[in-house]
Amino acid sequence: MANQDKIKILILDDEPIVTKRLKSSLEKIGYEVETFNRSIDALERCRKHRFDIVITDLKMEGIDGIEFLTEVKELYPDTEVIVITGFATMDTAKESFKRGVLDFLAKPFRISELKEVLHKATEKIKAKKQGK
Amino acid sequence: MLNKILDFFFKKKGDSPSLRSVFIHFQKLIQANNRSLEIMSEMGEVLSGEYIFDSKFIRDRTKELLDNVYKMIVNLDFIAPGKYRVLFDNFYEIKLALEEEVKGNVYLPDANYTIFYEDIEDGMVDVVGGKNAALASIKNKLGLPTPDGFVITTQGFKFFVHASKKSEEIQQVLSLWKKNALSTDEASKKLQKLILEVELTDDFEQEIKDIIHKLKVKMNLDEIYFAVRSSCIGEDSEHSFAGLYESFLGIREEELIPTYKKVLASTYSRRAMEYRKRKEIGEKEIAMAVGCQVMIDPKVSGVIYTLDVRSKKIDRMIVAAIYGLAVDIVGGRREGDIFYVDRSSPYNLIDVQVRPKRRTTIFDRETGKVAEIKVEQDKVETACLDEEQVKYLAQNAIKLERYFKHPQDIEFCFNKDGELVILQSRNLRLSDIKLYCNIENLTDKLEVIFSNKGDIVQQGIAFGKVLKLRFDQEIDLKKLEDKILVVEYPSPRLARMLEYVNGVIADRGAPVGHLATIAREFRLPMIVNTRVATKLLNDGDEITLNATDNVVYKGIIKNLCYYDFVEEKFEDTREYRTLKRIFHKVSPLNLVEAGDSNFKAENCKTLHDIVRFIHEKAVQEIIEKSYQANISGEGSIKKLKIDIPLDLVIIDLEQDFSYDDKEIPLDCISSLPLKSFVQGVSYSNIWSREPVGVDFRGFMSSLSRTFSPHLADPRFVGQNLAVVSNDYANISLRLGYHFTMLDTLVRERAADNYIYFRFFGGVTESERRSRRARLIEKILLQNDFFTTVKGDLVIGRLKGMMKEYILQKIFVLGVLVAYTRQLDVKLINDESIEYFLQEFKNLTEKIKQKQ
Repeated sequence: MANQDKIKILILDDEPIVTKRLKSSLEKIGYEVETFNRSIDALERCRKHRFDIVITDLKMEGIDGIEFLTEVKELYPDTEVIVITGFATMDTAKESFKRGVLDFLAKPFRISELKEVLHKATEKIKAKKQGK
Repeated sequence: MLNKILDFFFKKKGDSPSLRSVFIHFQKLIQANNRSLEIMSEMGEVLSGEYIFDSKFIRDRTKELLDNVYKMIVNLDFIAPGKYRVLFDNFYEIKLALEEEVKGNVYLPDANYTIFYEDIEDGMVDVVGGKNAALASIKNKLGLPTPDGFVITTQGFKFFVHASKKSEEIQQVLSLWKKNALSTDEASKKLQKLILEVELTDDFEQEIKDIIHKLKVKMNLDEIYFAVRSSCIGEDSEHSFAGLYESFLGIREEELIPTYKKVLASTYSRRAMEYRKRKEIGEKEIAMAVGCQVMIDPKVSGVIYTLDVRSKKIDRMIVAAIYGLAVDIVGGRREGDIFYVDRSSPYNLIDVQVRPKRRTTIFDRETGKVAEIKVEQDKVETACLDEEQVKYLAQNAIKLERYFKHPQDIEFCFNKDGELVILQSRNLRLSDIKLYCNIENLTDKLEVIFSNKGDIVQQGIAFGKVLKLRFDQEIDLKKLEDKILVVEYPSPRLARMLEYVNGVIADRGAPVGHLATIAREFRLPMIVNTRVATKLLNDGDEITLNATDNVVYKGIIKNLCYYDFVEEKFEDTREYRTLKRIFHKVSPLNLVEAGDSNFKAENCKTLHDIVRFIHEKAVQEIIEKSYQANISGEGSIKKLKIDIPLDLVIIDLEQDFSYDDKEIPLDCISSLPLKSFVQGVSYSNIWSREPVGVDFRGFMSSLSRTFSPHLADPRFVGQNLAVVSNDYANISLRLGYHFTMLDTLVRERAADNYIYFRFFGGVTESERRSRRARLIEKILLQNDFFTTVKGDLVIGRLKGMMKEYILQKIFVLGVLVAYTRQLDVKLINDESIEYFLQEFKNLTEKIKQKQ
């Protein structure tokens, strides 16, 4: 993949173990990844820069995941959002999908499951780009 | 009100609870039992590295597990009031430890200040230091010789710095230094002086004396000398600290404590403090553990780099060796002989550079001192290691590299008996060597044989030739070296092979089986449940297994392996270490067999022990209570209607049978495992085959044999019982003179499923009994069970397999029970074992064909 074609991903999770491990395994398969452990920093970055895909946790200090992803979707309706959470309930899932989330993964999840979802997202993004 | 509720539950007979309420509590207990087992499996699975998890997961699951085990204890206490209350004490002790671990504190029950190397478990790096933790893994996991001895843990350091009479002053100096009110040089001098002045408490000193005494007794030594080595803990990886702290050789017992203080003082050497300041490593993150190892006076010592970083040739290892101690090589004063060795089997020597070795350093036991001596003339210009030794060394060095998943810098020696001892192994500093190419470009060009087919048991990358093994095939272990083992089932039989192979791929199985657990202990790359491996891979194929990303490539791609080396290790993360320590307090099973003398509530050491114990006792209680209830006319016990005289009584926890039916036909039973088992027992005409007449000797011994008291209440001798629900069955049978117990759970999710099978007792003299035990063990092994044999008792365990497979194995156990009913009397000699083994195999193969 040439650099300009790389899919840009932002990952937000308050636990560094999650962002660190995801970053290294996603970079390895060709994604460009930025990670944040505080939602305020992630939001700030999003306001200045558009990401193709955003992966976010839900429960966090300060701005929580729902608030964050809502703003991201408002800023960039085409950005695909994937939720990863340890508090997976029907309600949180419904709430997320209502706001246009592409998929919802409960922690702990297999890296391969996330890769599948990312594949789906990438196809969607590519299709949109070609359509334009 | 409460009394009324209690009265309701206890209405039947005085203060013993009613059978219905006992059933309700038993069901709750079984639910908690199953959930506990699920959580333990999940914890093991997550340790494979395939899952993304966080500290919340560790906290939540540990709490949920504790809640469920507590529920089990409470429900058992309802079923058998007051009988097993000691479980509460054991539970609280484990709970306390787990709660500390969840907070990130390493919980050490008794050993506060010292611990033997053999007692060091995974994940204890914060307590014993990186170097010591690595040595313990080498000794305890890989089974390679390392020096004997013990570690003075970081608890000791914490005492010096935070709890001794000097700690206040130490903290003051540190704070002044931090504010730049003191120069590093001044602070260092003051701190080192203070550390040396600290007096150990009586407890601390006594603990060190006690452990020295134990070590001397264990090693049968009158006099003991130590190598005292620093092992520092910090956020940075340990090799950056190399050479910053002091180590001492040839230390007498009485000098150990003063030397220990010297090593601790070196934590505050000027160089070390400067280094930490530069790297912004907080002083709070620092702790020093000290290894106290029995001094070896070796013939030859040296250092291996598993990659030749010196000449940047990454296809070879480099070994430097010299007579006596390795201090001169490590310290860079002498170079020794240099050997270049191939990195793969058979580890050919590429080049040897013999250097003149006129002088060397040894440990002189006479004087107890480290001294420099002249090397004997004829040895000066000969190589100090022969080819065999170098090859053996290289082979073991690669084992270490694989385990630690990084090229290693290893210090070794050959002791007086010529035995290889690993003195230290740490990650090799790769400096500017680039080990990997662009992996995207690399993998684009590779031919994928299959990908994302199975479940990862243990991440990692391995390459080698395929070796396919059929389920009953014996093999010379040497042939396994450097191979990728490809099998249909991950049978526990393969366990002893794991240390030889580079990786494992299986068609079936789940990542929670017995073999999976062992692979994870060895950190061996392994994938199961691929469904295609044995079809797509052939003997001798060269492949690369990427068990990190779940891909199998054609060809041997060394670069991929190197890529794995430079990744940050999941095993090095704090969360992994915490979960691993928790897992060790939760999962090992010490109480395997109900008949063992240690099978007592007070011996439960882990949550798994408690779960196992309660489950066993609860089943016993429910059988007893049902029996009593039946006598008093209250029971809902029904007999199974079947053609053979199995005489099986069923207690169904979910299904209510009509009161009028005395016997229930198999069709009306909703318990899947019970159905499979009964179908197995009544399969073909095996049951009704004529038992061979017992010869006189056999008959006499059957008369004199009494029943083992733990197996069943005497009232139930002759009573065959099944406690079942839709997905669960516990079946105890007494057939002929055998006792059989089967406990099994069969669900859709493979990870939930297990079989526990126990076979005991029988007519005829001990020799024939043990023959029968051997035969049954072999049959169980053939069917991929994990087995334990103690005398005439055979236990078979199986877990983490899919539903259809488990049901088929239950069926086979049914056939086995019918088949061996009277068999022991036929087992007149050892050859007959093989005969019957083969006969049984033929029998079950026919079943497979029919199915």
